[in-house]
Amino acid sequence: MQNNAHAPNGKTAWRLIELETRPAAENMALDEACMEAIAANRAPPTLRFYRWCPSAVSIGYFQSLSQEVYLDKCRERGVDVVRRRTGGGAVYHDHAGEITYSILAPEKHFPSGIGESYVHICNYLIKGLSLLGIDAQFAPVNDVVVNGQKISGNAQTRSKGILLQHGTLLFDLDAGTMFDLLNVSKEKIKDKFIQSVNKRVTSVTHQKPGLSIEQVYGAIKSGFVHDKPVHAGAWTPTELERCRELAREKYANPDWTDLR
Amino acid sequence: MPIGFSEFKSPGGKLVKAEATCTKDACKVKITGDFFLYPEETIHALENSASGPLPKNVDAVQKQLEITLGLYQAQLYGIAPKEIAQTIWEAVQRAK
Repeated sequence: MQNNAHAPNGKTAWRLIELETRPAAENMALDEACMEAIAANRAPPTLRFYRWCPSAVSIGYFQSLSQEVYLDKCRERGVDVVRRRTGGGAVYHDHAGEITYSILAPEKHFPSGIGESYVHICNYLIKGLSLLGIDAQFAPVNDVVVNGQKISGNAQTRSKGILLQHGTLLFDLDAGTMFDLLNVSKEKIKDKFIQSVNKRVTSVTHQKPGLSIEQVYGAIKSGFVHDKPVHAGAWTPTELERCRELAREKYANPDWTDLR
Repeated sequence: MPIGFSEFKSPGGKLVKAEATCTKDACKVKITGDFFLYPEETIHALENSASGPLPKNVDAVQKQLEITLGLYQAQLYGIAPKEIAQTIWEAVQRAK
């Protein structure tokens, strides 16, 4: 499928990569490989959903690895560590407790303002959560919250006219592991010390106990695809080849991970 | 060489940290945090613009940052140039 493929109604056809599970370096490499493919008109706008195995910590492009992550504890627990190409904060991606999405398309598909584009894309997530009976809102600058508690963090980058936004949806919260692995700045949480993590962060299972991750994925996917023609698709051989290259040479490379 | 640190949390919750390694009359600045900057690679130019001869005041730091952002047509999101400048300024003062 080419970037300029259209559905019968003239709207651009999107490719959907259904929920898949990969290691951290591959997950980040696929985002970059897909951006490159779209920029070269070798792939259509793409929506993908994924999980992380092994569980992983990702840090934002501008963060200091040594200041944000307890590397020894990650090693002890077999948790991957990867630096994202997007800004934002450190995230613990629990294999069993999170669904991640990426949306990648030429910038013309989104509002031009950064804040407006965050709202636009996060509204897909909010729509999906509403299908589960969860009333969520966008919380500037890049979060989605339920009753003020964070349920999703999102990060965006733009390159060669292509916008990438990826974000998390907390399905189940393992706050203990999260805070064993992440070195949360005292400045960052100084005004929140009196609140427990469980009061600042929430998850789908906390809001709606009993839902399976498949049910949640189905609803979130519906939220993202409701306004666009989407076709289930697959990575191209070129994208997979580029993914392997980027995973090996960049995202699994300590020089990149310890860049700052 | 003396090293100074400072960090600042913006009203929107984004954090910026500055590390300044200084001699008697010059400094080298590193900026980290969970803010957003497009394009991301501009961070190196921002660090270079804040490094060099010791700044006279916080306004001078801010002006350098804003000039660099303009040159690279870069945009900060979640943090303001003024907030980064203040953080750098404090780090430099603590390194003296």
